[in-house]
Amino acid sequence: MLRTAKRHGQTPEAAKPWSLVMFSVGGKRVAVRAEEIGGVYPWTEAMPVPSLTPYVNAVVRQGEEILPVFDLARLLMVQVSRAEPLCLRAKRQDGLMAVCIDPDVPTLHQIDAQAVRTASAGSPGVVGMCSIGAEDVPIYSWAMFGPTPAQQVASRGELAVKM
Amino acid sequence: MSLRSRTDKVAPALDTLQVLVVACGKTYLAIPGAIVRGVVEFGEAVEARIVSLFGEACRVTDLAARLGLPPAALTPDMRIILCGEHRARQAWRVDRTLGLEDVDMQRITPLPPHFAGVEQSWFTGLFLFRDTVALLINPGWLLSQTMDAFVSQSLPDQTAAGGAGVLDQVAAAPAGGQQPSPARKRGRRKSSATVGGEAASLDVLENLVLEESADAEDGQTPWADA
Repeated sequence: MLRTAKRHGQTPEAAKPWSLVMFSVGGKRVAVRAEEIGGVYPWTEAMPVPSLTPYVNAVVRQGEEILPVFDLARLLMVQVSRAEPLCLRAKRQDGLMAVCIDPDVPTLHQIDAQAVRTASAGSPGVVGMCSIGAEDVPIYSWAMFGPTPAQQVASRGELAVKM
Repeated sequence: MSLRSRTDKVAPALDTLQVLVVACGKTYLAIPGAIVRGVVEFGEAVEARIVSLFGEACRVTDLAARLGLPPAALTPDMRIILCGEHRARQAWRVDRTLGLEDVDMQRITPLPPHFAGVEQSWFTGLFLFRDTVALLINPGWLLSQTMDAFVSQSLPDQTAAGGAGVLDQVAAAPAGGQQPSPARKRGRRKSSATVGGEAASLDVLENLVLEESADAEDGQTPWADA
């Protein structure tokens, strides 16, 4: 069965429809696979953290939990609406992150896997494009922003030297 | 004014860490109390650029600027935090102090791994503080900053170097600022030679000589009860 699927360039995963959560940041609509979203909450003020990690420069407190903030707005070069923004909890392999998004409530969409198009080169974090309604929406993956294993090793080495 | 938030005089438990929480803009930073040697109030803090701590000179550095945050604002709440351990001496300018806190070690969590850069060496962790979060500064990192350049320099060496020439923090303070609080004025000011037509206030306050407090309530944090 597996051999047959490979021969035709299809895997069971590829055949599944994609569940996407669409939301907007600074008016730009973007989508993320639903399994990479951990919920949506009201935004609470973030505390800046001195950092040289790209797009990770704050933490936000949610009850007894502290989440690092991923600055998607900066990546997209937009500003999130200041009026009651929302907090998207983003799931990544190394833990949850908080992403500040526009107050529009995110919506869930099912997209046929074959309708997902390849992203153009030079769009960091974008794993594909799809059409939702009349809009072309980029699909982001938080995993694309995480450090690669090589970077993790290099970072540990750098820290050892600094310490 | 006391920095102590607790009222009892019981020594901190072994599983707690005493920290001095300071603010740099909207960022709350916790400095381990073990390395804090003193707190200088606004009058001196705004203009002093070199302080002499227990006979050794050290330059006053803006902590926010060192961490890449917007530099400290000139307000009456501004303070200089004097830090030292063994031969290392540092003086850091901060926006304000928020007080002493005994933090249960179990409340301190590592900086999330998402912070993958050199900041992992700046902070040893973070903890819930009031309605927000405080970052625990790595004392080793804090004391190692520019130490090589200053640890062996004496005060006369620095004044002879021309003051501003060896400083990267220029105090843009208004002349005739607030008088230092008498409660903090345990040290004495050491007058330095006036250089040309520079503002007198800068020259006078450039070198601030501090001495160890004699009326400390306890040996651990003599600076906390003034």
